[in-house]
Amino acid sequence: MSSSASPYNGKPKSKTTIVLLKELKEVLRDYRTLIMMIILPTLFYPAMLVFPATFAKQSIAKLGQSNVNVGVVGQCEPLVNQLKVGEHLKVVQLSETDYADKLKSNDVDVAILIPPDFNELIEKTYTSESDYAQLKKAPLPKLKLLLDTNREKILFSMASVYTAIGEFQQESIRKRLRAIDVGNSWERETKVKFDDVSPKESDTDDMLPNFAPYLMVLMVLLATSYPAIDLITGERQRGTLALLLVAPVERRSIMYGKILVVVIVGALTTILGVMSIAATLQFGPIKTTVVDAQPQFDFGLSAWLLVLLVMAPLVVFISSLSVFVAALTRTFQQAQGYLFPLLLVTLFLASAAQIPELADNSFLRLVPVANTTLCIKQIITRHWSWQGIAITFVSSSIAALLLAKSAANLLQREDLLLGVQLSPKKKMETGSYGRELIIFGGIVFFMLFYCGQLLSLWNVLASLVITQLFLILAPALAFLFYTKSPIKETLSFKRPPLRYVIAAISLGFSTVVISMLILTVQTKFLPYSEEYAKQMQLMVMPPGRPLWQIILVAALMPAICEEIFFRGLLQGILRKSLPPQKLIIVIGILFGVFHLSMFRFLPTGLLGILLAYLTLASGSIFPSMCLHFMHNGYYLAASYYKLNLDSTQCIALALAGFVIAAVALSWKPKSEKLAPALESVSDSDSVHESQEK
Amino acid sequence: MAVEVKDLKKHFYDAKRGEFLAVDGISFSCSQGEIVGLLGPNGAGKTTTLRMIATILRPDSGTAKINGFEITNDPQGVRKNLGFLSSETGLYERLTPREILNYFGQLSDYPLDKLQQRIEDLIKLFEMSEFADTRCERLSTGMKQKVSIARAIVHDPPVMALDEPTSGLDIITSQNTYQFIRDSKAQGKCIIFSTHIMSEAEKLCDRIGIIHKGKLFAMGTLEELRELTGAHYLEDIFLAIVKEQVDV
Ligand SMILES: Nc1ncnc2c1ncn2[C@@H]1O[C@H](COP(=O)(O)OP(=O)(O)OP(=O)(O)O)[C@@H](O)[C@H]1O
Ligand SMILES: [Mg+2]
Repeated sequence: MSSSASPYNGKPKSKTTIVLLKELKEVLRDYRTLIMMIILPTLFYPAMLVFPATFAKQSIAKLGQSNVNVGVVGQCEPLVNQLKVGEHLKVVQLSETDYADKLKSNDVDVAILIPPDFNELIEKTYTSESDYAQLKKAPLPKLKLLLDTNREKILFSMASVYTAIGEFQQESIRKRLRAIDVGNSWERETKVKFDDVSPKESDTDDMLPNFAPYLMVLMVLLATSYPAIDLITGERQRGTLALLLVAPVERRSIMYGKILVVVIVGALTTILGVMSIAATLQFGPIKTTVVDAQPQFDFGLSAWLLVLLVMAPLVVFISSLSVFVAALTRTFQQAQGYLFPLLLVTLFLASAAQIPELADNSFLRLVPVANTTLCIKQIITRHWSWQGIAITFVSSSIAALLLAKSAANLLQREDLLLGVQLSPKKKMETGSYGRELIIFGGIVFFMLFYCGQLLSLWNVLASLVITQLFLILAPALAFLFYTKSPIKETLSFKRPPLRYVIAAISLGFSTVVISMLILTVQTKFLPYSEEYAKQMQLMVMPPGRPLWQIILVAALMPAICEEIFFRGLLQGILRKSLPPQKLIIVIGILFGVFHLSMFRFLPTGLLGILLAYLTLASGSIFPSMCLHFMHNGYYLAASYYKLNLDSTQCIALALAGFVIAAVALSWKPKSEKLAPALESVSDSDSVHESQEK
Repeated sequence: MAVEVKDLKKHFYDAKRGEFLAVDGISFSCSQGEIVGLLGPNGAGKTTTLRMIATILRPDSGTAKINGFEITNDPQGVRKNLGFLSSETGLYERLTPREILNYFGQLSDYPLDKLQQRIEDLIKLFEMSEFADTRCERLSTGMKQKVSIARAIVHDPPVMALDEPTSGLDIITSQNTYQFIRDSKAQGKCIIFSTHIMSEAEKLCDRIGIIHKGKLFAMGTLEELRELTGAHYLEDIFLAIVKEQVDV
């Protein structure tokens, strides 16, 4: 309904702006939001950065103030002199025979053993190349330090000892350099070595690049989740949302207005937070870090502005996410219950940037939250690129927009607005298990992610069996029983038309070859990490197992369990509410994600789409089980016998498989009624029809 | 006809009662300058019916037209022409009555140059000047109800659906509300309101519909209902109709 159709005219403000201004007024009148928005970022976050560091520094300073008794065994005057001027160091000369006892009785805290040839090696100056050649052969001058590492006190105080020794080393190098004729070929070498001693610029304090991105994500999430819940769930619970929905406003305008307010709150918090963190790091006590040898934190204004820039899409995305989650809830309690999983998921995404193997990955740039934390980390360590920032910006904004759109559709839902429940019968008829599926899927996903990976550390083959039976098949069956769905119908347990079976069997080898080709192309853009290749290898070829065992566990079991889960349960439920094209794509994507690897997402996702198509078109799950088994089986056999899959013969075979499948699928016997094909919008109806036949 | 309701049906489900029809084929109409009352006991389906008319509940079947706009095909048109007051809705606690009226006035495309005057009129009409600038969280139930009514009609809609407009109001304010409804009728508005107070229906309504268990059992002027049942007082009429139908 366009607003121009209204009988009134002359309205200067858009509906979105009206909603925005009102919500902003209301939010600013709520002290809880103000606390989240102002107090947390300005005081709490900097404190989180400063306290641990200051505390550590103070306690170390205290420990470092105590004197260290250094016992020197052997002779080296320059070293002893250096030690004597060292802070809190008391030097005593010890003999070969008594130093062990003195150490034991704590009369000295540390003993430095100087070998007899030490002075000679150190003090000798070299003036020619032959001298240098000699030096290279000669043993290196060595010092031996003895101390009781159980005594914490000494460990901290040792810094002064190390500093003194370091000073001595540098002094002797300098001395030697002075003695060298400038221009000698090996002089440079020494000099370069000398340069290397100086700390590198990017050696910034480790804590910051790793910790700061989390802090930023947490900050935005905390700042946005409260107003989001207040603006949506709050309105629902107080009964004002119904009023708003009766006003002639587009749902989209309401949603955008509300999201914008949350974005504003998030942005203000972020600006304040980043500014105060910057100020703390620049001027605060954290400036000198624990280990003095490291450079001070030095991060210019432009870098902070850059951080703010990449934070912008994050703020928009997390605001939309908070609003979306809030839109799913009816009461504050419910919303608070959703907050924790939300926190987990966002921090999980944020952590992806911390995994070194993933960090250089171009795929990660497309994943919201992960891409921003990656950017922040790279800015802090000075490895960022405009390209990366641009991709982050675009992909996060698109994700935010999609979320905003779907959140707008949730506003009017009767169950959320007025607590209207569907009867189990209607639920089943319409497949409206959205909430259950999300919870169920989340649990299965996390179980797979953690339990599956833990199990595989223990025993590869056994973990595959347990994963298939207990993490995939059992939950699927449990869900079926919980929803009291008719098993045969939901899982499409039905005799399939013969041509689909033929197609499935002939496609088995072809899909393996296609997957390999896709992987080959993909590696150009998304290189495999070695670690991952090793893992994969282990999975398809557990050492010391015969092929039949591997096939049983890694081909037959997935063909049954995974098919029942994806093409059976998920597809059986989702086909009631999704149009066919969307359905097979969604099932494919879920199947790709399920493999928990970016490298395998594309090939497995495509395979998932094909499997979903087969099930939908044939009305039976068995063709896809067949194909799944053939695919995995061929793949395992090929790796077992180290077959080269991109040879011409293999590609020819694959093509032949496609041709056979195409012929089989296009051949429709007249006697057979048109199977529920892709064109039919309401698939469940056609399933009934074909069952009646 | 300003409002035409045809065979509205709505199922609800809850674990104890199972699936049931909360509104079971209700049809009626209401023309300009007419007041129609929906009279029924608790849980009769009055609120549900009005919610469907107000486009926040989707009927399982049946339709309704408000000033020619169909509720499922053109909800936006319905919303522009309807003022909806519900007994279960709240107010924005952190805003003042004046701000709320302003907000809904703007959202409903009321001409901006006339909006302030309209708000002033409403504040005077409902005697809200004392608390027009106090945050709603500090208002009493009756004060809130006044604000709610004013909010529902701030855009001066031709059709009003008022769900128990006098709940929580004292006698004086109730009288004022009745007067307001009569005035609106005089201005040619179409008013549907629900109540379970017999005297209210008797006094105000041109026609009365008797709803029980989701069904509209009878609809007509007081005279017609008297003729139908042979009873004089609305209470007796109501009981007669409900009993007769239940016995059958
Ligand atoms: N969201 C809901 N979920 C399930 N049942 C509901 C829901 N809302 C209303 N009902 C049921 O529908 C029936 C009609 O309710 P409705 O609110 O329309 O009654 P009413 O006539 O307005 O009653 P009252 O005079 O008490 O306001 C009742 O039995 C009620 O329990
Ligand atoms: Mg009611």
